[in-house]
Amino acid sequence: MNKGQIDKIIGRVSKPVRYMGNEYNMVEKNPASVQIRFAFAFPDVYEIGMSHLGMKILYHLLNEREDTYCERVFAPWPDMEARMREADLPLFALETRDPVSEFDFVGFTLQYELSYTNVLNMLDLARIPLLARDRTLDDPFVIAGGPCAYNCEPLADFLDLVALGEGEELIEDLLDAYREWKADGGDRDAFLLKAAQIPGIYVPKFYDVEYMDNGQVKAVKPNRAGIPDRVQKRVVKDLDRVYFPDKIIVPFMDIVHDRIMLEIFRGCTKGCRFCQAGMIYRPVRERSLETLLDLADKLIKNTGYEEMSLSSLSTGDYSRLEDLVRDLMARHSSERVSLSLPSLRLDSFAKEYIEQVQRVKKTGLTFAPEAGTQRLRDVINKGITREDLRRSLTDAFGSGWSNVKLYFMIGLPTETDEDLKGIADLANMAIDCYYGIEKDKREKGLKITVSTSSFVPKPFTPFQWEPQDTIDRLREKQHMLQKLLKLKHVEYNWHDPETSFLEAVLARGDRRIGQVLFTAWQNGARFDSWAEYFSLDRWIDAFAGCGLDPAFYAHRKRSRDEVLPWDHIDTGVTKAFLWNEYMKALNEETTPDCRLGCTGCGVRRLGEGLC
Amino acid sequence: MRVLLEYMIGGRVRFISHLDFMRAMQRTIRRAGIPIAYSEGFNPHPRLSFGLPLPVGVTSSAEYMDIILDGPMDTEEVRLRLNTHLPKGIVVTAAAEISPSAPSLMSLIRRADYRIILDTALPGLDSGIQLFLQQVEIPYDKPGKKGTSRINLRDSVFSLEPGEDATKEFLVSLKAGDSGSVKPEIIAGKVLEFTGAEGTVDTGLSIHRTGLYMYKGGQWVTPMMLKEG
Repeated sequence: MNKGQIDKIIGRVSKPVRYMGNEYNMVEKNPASVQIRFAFAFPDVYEIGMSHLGMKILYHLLNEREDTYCERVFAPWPDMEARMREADLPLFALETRDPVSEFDFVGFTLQYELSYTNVLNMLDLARIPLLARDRTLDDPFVIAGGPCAYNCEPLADFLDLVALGEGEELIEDLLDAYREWKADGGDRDAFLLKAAQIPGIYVPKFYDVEYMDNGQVKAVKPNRAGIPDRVQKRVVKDLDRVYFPDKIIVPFMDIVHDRIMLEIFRGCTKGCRFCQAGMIYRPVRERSLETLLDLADKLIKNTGYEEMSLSSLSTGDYSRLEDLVRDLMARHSSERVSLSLPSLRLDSFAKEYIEQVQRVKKTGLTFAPEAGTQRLRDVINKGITREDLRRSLTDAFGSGWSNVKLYFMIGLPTETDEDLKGIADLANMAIDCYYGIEKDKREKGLKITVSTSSFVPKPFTPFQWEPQDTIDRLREKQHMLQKLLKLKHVEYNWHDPETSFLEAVLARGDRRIGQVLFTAWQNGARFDSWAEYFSLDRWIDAFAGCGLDPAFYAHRKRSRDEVLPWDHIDTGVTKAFLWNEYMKALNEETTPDCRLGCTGCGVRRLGEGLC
Repeated sequence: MRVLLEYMIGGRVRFISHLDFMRAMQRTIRRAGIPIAYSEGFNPHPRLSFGLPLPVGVTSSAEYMDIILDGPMDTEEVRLRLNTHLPKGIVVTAAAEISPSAPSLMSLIRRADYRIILDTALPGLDSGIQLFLQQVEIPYDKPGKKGTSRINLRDSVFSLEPGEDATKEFLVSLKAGDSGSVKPEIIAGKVLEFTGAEGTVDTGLSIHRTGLYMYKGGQWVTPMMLKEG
């Protein structure tokens, strides 16, 4: 391939900067001087992929190794794909522009289910055989990680290896094993067998799945000696010791999260029952204040970024948040670095932080009560009261905000019309909070944006046994809310239930879904998370063609004793704990934050002193 | 103090948009620790302004921007610091102090010169150029914010001539900075049309901006002539 051809091609597509590379802090190495070439692949477009913190960490971590050169590759936008296919140009890495088929590893991060067809499409564009079993010694090993890797059964046939849990230590072990295997010589299985001995590495082909006549999974068992019955995820014990980059790539393009993301802790103690992240990222481990301040200094200096966000599942829960925010502002506000606090939960919201943040630049405020009534919030264990929300909104309006967003889910287990009315009730309460502030003390132009997403039951959560509402039922609920929220100052947005339906199918899919993915991809499915490219009909046809019923996956209530397709994966949290939480949910019983006392989720088994 | 910078853009970085470039420059200035001034008001922004935006995909050997500093810094120090911290492909070639009261670059720049190189040789290129020059009226519907407006392309061209390799290369000097200005690829397209090879030449071309000029004292000079003293 002529690399000069690439410039000609990207000069003719939309946003060529997506394929350009050469950003500040991009790592340059001589590929001939390394033993391992790793293509970090994000199955979505550049501006989404470059916003992902995990990629930034692993990219720089891998490049710290002298024996490894990690490069990046993203899903080409359809106009670029068409040009590439027309010119017979294989998928290339941004750094060297070498075809990714020449690499030792192609590592996909699976952040959401609707990116799966892009994984297939990228493999195809790379000219890597789609099915793991068709790959030879000339092909890279295809590995996947990220939250969807915990149940990646729908992709099992396409993946050689799966990395479960946090990657920083695991990937080092894997690359060390790879070098040993390369030195020893041997076939692909020899490496996979070696890799399967590394805690956290799952090799799908070493497991057989049996099904019952009713379509449910009968058993998932290792098919050769030396393979564990269950694979347990990896966790990093000490966040102050684990690698975190002190410089990151600064894209030219206006990417989705174009700022420094300072990861302040991992895990979450809240125990919201719908939340997969809250279950799979346990336990909570914090970075110390000192480490964070030091990292912030270096990152600001090395990137020139003008904005920084604190990243975690529940930033308000960081034990020294006040000190952190105050110290960061003290050190960096003169450099005009603004600080945004995403995923701020209102239960830990304090007026002081609002004012701290406001000192530099006013950023939007988002609250996520998730459900409209206390009853339903108890079901999902979202420990926020109406009073909490009222106080937070009053603080926000009193501090000069007039634009707030309220996030809810519809289709939650046990939901009734009363719960939907509760959403409108909270929107009305927000209006009252605003008008409760004296006229000369509030900002003009009240705007309340209410957004609802549709609940998707996820594996490894207490609701993994629950059916999802049908598309029709979700539409009815949206119509009802449209009527209820016809209020002055209120704007209502809702999420398309068709994509939520597909997400539900893929999230709890088994290995048979692989055929459906393949068929849908062949029929043109890609960028399914982008409304302009999503087609439900294409998926319905693919299911029909494969003789599978999507409702079996999305709308069926599972029983306690059913073998779930992901039961051979161990996130640390036990199935017994999840079931118990499920039963408590149906009884409208809450479970306290586990910082107040261990709730026995099982994650302690992962290592002493973890939590 | 107000500092005028002259810089080149080459290599892969040519694919960034003007907005991308502005962001990159702002971050470079921050990394370099240059004491840039900020505007007053609710949402302060760094005080830098640009000459003429460079079209996506075009390289350049002379672009201009100026920055306002809060405190004094030697202009050579500014240049060196920027070059240490700029992304690959952007190089500051000169820096000079200019009067705070000098008009904006945007308002001064009136002419932009380009070298256009075809991927594949086209023997009829020279005759296409001559034919273009012979025209009195070359109508073109220029896209704008409120639909298109009809302009005469011939009026936008100060000069047009073959380059070193007359079958592959030509030089064009275009009006810049007013309503009659057009993108170089539009002129290139017309020239190719006049060669009669239209349609067969989807060859692609490279465009390089060789200079930006203002009109001062009856002659074309570069903005570096704004330098004080």
